[in-house]
Amino acid sequence: MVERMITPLLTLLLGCAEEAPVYGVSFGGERLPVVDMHLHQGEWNLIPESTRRFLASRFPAPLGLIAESTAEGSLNAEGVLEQLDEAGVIQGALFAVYAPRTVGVATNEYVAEQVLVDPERLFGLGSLRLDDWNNNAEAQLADLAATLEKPGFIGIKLAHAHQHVRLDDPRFDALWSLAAATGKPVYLHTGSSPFPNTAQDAAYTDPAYFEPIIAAYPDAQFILGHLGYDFINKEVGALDTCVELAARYENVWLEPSALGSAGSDPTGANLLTAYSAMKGAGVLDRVVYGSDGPQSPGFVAEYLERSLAAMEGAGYTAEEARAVLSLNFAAVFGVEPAPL
Amino acid sequence: MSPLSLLLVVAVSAPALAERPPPNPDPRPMGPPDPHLDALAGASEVGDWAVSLETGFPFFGARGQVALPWMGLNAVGSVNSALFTDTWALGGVSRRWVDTHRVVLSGEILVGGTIRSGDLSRRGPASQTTLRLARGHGRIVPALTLSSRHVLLTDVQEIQTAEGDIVERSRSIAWSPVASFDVGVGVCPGFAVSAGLDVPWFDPPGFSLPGAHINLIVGGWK
Amino acid sequence: MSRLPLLLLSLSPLLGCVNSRTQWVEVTVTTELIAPEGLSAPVYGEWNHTWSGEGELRVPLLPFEDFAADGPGVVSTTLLVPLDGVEGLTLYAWMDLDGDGLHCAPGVTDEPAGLGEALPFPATEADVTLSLEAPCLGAEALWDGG
Repeated sequence: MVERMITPLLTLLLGCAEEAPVYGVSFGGERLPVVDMHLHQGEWNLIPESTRRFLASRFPAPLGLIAESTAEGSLNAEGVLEQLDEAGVIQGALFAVYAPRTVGVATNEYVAEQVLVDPERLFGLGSLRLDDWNNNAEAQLADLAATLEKPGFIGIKLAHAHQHVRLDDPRFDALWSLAAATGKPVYLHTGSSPFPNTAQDAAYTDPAYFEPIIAAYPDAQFILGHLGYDFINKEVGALDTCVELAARYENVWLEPSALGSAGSDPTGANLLTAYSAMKGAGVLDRVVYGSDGPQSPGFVAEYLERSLAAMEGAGYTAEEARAVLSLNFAAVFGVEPAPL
Repeated sequence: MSPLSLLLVVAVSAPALAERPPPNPDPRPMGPPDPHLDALAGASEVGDWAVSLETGFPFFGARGQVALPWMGLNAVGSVNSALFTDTWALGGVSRRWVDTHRVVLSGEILVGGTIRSGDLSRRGPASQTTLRLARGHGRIVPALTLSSRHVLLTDVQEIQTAEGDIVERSRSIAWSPVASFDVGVGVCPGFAVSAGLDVPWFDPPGFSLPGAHINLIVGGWK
Repeated sequence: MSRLPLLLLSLSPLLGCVNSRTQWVEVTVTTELIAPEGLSAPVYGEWNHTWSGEGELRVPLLPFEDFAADGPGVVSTTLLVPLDGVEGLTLYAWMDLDGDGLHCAPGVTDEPAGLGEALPFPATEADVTLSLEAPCLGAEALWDGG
């Protein structure tokens, strides 16, 4: 009832006029399609209380007072698609998440439903619980394997710091083998995290701890999310480690999401450093664009703008930007290149 | 106590301590009441009353005032809610401090309680001190309102220790000021409307979105 | 029925003076740290709620306070532990053999760790024995289901 009254008022105040979306961005004199590989959705009541408070406090007041309705308006597929339309992003990938201590749970089943809202534009990355692996590994692996068979599922999402699992944990051979056998890349959160209860020690955040697994599974593709960014101190963190790993291992991909947001990198200097480092290392054929949206209204579009500015600042050519914004996504996940 | 609060305490209590002021050299003209002026100025003339109903974003609420027969005081009751989630129920007194043809300035002190539900829930006894500045009499009344709202938060920890159970209380005060600018228009005797902009600050120093509202105002007279 | 009690009941949240009320226990834990023979170095770790959350968010081992000791042996620690929404008290610790402050930095393979539950809990006194014998494993890898 309250939401029914508030939504029209918000719409009126925020001026959300309906316009036909225009896909793609202009860069270097060319029109380029954009795919956002890092998007979240889920249900507010599957986020732990401490994180709900954290998120609510970061919404512009008074939207934090109605955090649940504010969040759920943008955390379902329809809300995500609205943000993609606003940003001109043609396709996006939704993450399942099993991190009950920190960012909460977005189940594989939920993601599967959301992907079906627009299967031409939405993909899914499945995930699995790691918190009772010694007793529950087989069931979790079976569920993940079944999920990866579902329409639209193109990869696996893990977040060691959020899931409280060391990056060098030796118990997950079967998981890496599954990724290699199915050809589904594994996305890994790297770096610290601002969320309550995150495991912030280096063993959980520093991708250097993951190198033995990268080396042991050359047929599995690993995407190092956030480039090891230090979200606590707003510093580049393990950027050099990530870039060096990508330079040394052909099965390492890089994804510069979230680190360049207005909150995490107010001046944009760190995102520029990151894009410059990736270009300097000659690994732009393995950089995949993502935002980590939707976070807040307008975030997906804003993050894309900041990323384009960083690429421009780092001297990217239109072809390099095209690779980062869409072609590398198609390459790593084995899908058709995105249309404009 | 904030400087604004102190100022308003002095403003409201001073008449009670001092001699009755001399007659206003520029008295309010006789005639029908100005409920919109009364409501926007925050205090009515003796015998008058005003009730306003507010709707908008983020605030919804109702406020009533009735002039008391002594010291120029008005009794005020107010229920106000942001998005039906952050609700303040307050009562207290107001008084016109300055009242000329050009300007009406009033001060107001209310006390009561507040309760906020949701993920940022909180509750506790609350106070609100308000300064209202309105242009003098006329069919159209612009008005500026500055409110300083405080809530006393008491957190209780019940601790089992080897020596027995102990209870510890920690207290803090949360501040949420609001500034509003209104323009009220008298529609007919005893009935008016106003529209305004709000600049709330819910949980300083975090950013708050501005808001807007419409008031329906009715008033009576002696 | 009089409407007054109902009115007072509905107004009671507004009139209530307490913002939050939480329950805690101050527990003194006697910890026996057992290391492999011949090893002695500072020990670090975390105190965990053994369980927290409900439903899909129910999860073992939620760290809430750091632990440190000069080395193997018996140490006594006094903790203030919340009781709302959590259960149990479990200690995870590891021995910093190379003194770098990191548990098994890349290339290091010998720093032993252990996990143990403090009992009884909740209580004002509890005991836990921790055998530091699993090299380079995190608390999650040592969790066997409680």
